[in-house]
Amino acid sequence: MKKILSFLLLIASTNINAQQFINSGTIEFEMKTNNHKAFGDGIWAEMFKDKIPQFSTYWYSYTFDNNKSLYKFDRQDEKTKIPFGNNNVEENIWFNDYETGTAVSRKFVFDDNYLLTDSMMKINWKLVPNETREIAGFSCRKAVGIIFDSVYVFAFYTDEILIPGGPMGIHGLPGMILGITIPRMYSSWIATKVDIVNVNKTLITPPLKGKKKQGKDLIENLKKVTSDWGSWGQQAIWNIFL
Amino acid sequence: MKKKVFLTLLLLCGILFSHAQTSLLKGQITDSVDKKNPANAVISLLRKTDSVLVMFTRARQDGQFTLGPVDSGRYILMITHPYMGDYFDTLQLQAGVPQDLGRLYMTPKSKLLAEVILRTGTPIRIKGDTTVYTADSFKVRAGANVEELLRRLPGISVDKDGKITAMGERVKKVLVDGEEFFGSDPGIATRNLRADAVKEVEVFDKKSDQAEFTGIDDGVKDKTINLKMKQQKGYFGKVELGGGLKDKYNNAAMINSFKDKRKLAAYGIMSNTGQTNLDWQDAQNYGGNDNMSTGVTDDGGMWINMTRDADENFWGGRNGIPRNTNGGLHYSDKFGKDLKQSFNSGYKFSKINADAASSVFSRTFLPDSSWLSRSNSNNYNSNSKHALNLTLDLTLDSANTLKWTARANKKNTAASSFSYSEMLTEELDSINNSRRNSHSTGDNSSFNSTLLWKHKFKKLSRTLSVNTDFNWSNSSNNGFLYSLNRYYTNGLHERTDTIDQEQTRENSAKGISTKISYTEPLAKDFYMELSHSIAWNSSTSDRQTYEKSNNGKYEEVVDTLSNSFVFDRLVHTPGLNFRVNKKKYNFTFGAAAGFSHFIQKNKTRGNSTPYNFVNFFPQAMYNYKFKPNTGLRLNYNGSTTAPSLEQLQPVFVNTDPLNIYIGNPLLKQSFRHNFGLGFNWYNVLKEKGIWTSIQFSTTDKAFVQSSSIDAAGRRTYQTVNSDGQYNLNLYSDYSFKIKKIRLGAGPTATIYRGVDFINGVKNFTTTKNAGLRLNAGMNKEKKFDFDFGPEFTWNVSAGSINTEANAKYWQLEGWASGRVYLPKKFEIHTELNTELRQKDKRFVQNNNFTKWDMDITKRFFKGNDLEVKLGVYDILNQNRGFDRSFSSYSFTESYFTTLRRFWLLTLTWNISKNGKPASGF
Repeated sequence: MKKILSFLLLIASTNINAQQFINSGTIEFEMKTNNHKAFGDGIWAEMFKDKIPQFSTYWYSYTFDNNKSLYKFDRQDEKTKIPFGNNNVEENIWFNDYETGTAVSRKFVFDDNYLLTDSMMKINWKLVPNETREIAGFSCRKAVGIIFDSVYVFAFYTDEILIPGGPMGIHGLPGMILGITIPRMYSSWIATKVDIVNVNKTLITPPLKGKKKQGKDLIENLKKVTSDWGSWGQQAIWNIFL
Repeated sequence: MKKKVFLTLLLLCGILFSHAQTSLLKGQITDSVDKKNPANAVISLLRKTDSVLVMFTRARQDGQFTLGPVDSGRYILMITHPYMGDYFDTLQLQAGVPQDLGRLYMTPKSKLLAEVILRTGTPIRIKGDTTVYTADSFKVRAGANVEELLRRLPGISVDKDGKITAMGERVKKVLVDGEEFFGSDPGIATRNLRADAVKEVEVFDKKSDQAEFTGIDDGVKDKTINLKMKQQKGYFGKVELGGGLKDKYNNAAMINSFKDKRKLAAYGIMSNTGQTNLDWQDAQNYGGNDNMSTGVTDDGGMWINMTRDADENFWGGRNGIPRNTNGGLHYSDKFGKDLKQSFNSGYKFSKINADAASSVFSRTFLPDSSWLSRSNSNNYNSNSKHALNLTLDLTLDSANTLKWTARANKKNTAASSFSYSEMLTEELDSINNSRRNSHSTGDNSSFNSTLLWKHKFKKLSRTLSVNTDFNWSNSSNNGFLYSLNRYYTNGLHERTDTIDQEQTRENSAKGISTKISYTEPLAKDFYMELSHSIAWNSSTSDRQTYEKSNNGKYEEVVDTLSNSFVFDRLVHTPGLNFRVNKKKYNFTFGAAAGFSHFIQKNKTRGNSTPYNFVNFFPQAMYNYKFKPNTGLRLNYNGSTTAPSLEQLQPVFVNTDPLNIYIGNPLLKQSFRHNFGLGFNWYNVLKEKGIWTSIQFSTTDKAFVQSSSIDAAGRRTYQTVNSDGQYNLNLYSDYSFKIKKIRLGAGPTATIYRGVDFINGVKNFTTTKNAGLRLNAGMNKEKKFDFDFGPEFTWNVSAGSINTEANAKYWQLEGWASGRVYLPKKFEIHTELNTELRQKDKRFVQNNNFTKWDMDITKRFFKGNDLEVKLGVYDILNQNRGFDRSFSSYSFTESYFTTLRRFWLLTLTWNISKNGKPASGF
């Protein structure tokens, strides 16, 4: 019943208020990582800092239609490429179904491509309604959430887009998340373009290839392996399961 | 009727919800101006206490909405719409009571425009649970104190008594750069510090001291303000005093004082327990660490290179037990925009004195004779050194960087030696013996300077770099040698000769070289590297030997032992390399050729000999990645080596009259081929991995030793060219984990074939080692570390002509270490090294030994400011300086002085303000 209702609701909204509210589109997210900060400030890290660019920039595309979305790597800035690490992000795909709260993703973890099915992570959001920011032409409101038990996420969302989604597995706000900063990961994701005309809806299908595994099983496995890696292990897990 | 059913339903719902303590909410949104119904408006329900979003929905086409079920409690209702002003209300939801909010009016933004406040660039950031205010963004009057600054900050208020409230809570503590400022009374800091010295104001909840101390969160949190000052100023350091029985001492003091990026550090060490320098971690914190360099390779590798000064390698060596005093000063700073320019300088002083005693036993087998020899010597060495270094790193703009380094060293050495050696027949009759005294002093100075310019072109990966290197060195040495040599025939004394000489040696060298490298991307992932280097070098060597005259003065020049040479060298080295970098594989291939022109001028004889060599350096490498952690690597490199000045120069050196080295002017270049094959695999999730590699190298016209030994046992030797020398090395390691224990095992093997000549006969000596390395380890952070690693080796050494010096024996080398962290800040650490060898009847002694060290540390005070450590080195008093070697015609055992059992009590006092020493990653 509820499903039918919201379905009707969606139809209605797309028909009548197409000009005001967006229900499908493609968003380009620019992701920036501060490599120097991520390296830490140990002796070794200090010595390598001047050998690598301070920031690396990547672009991802996020295509959404109704309550489903697909997020994947698009390109990266060759000039700010660091020669090690993060070399397999191109392979990663996130498929989210916000209606059922399920996610299917393909993630490259150390040596293999995994096909992970999981329910979407539950994020407790604290709204900061008075702080607003314009991102890609949309007026966005601020919210602060906590993921992985203790990691703060600062998000900006717009209620002009009806889907309660966002890049990767970040979701759960009354609108689309167009900006994210995760200080402890020294990274930010900001929408640079929102295209509502040329949307390739056929893209939005769950990935099929990869070693099938439950997300929660893999995370347990990784926690065990990385337990003595210090903060690097933690960062690795966060990067994989965002 | 319908109404009744609805009511019943509602009632039912109510009962259900009251059971679940939940409630339903509904309402109707209307535009207050044109009375339309704003569809898709977001209706959010936030928890009153912490603004956490509990639930949201969007308004239907008719502006109506239903929200729930939701737990009872106090909420904030927030309704937003892109074209409407926000609507806020607080609600009290009661269990089981559905609430109809009725008609809610929203006002279009066009009407609200007048009230909109534009924000530009927020000077407030949220960092985790901390709110950070950038102080400069809030204007205060000149000379204002921090209290006035706080009044300007949104969310913070200060009343007339100086009481501070932040985010609605009373502030209990004000810290300055994380530390309490004369007690924790907030007013002291805020009224005494100037606002313009503050960089950032941080507001957060601090756990109570009790909770921080016990590590158990008692839930008490104090609203705290931390004032981050503009200049990070502080220091850290330590004083270490160690003393122990049998006159052992090990004292050190180190300090690093910093102000932002400026670093001024100094250290001093006095020790006779083998600590001749800073360890690498201390070197980073208190020295300039100019012996370490790092880089990133094109295929994603990171490398770290550490070099050690040759004269610092006393530890475990043959130079005895060092008594050293060293110290250093370091100054570095970063400046310019974004601190891209840096200046680094340092001065180091060291004085190392060492007494050493050594004894050598050897047996020699020649086709027609054999003998044994014994020697004992006592040496004293003293080195003092001053070293200066300077580095300037400049980033001129985004495309150009310049790096200049300069180093200057001055070293004085003094050495004296007393030794006795003898050669005996199998029947223990004397063949010869020699008593020698020598002493010498020397001065060395050197200077080196490098200038590196790197340019990046607009086109990605197109680069140019020019590196120029200048070096100069000068050394002079003065020594006296007295030697009394007796020769015997059939055990009867035949004759005696004496050497009583003064020798002077002057060496100097200067050189300049420039290398230009250019990289061009030819296609995607395909690069060409072109380089050319020119090196010019000139060195002089002047040796004079004087014999003692009848008048007691050293005046008579010994012609055979005196000469003067000038050696000039000019080398052009063009090189061309290609590199392909793909995701799955990468390879490089190319070569460089060195066109060298040498001239050796013998100033004594007035003749000169030119040498022209063309040296080739081909290389190729192929790397295939099956997966990021699985790869295969193949490589080849070849290199030509030209003979050195010492090898060519035909001059007698008679420091040991029974072993005389002569030069060989006919030496040709040698060429070394090196092949490698490696495979590695690692599975992160299973924590298993294999690393394995094979290296093979062989040398054409290798530089080998040719000895001729006369009946009196005098040996003259020189360097000659020979083929047939090779080396094969196999390494493998399999590592895995069982439960929490890390385990590793791997066979290793080496085969080495060396060539030498004895009295003109060519000998091959083949040495083979096959071994098995095992290791096991377990650790738990802050609890314990255990590691254990035995290695068994089977050694075979065989000569092609003579089998008398052949050897077969097994050997076990093992180590174990453990560290346990005990309660009350106690820590126990122990280490064990053992060497066991199969006994060889031909040697007098059994050389098995186990060195076992142990220490216990207790730390005091909150910041572990004081450390007391009691340690015993070599508890079993078995440590040995020992070496065994086999050649084609002899075997040798040497013993030398080494540190043995001592105990040491060390007090370490750590000091710090606003900083602490950096550690690894």
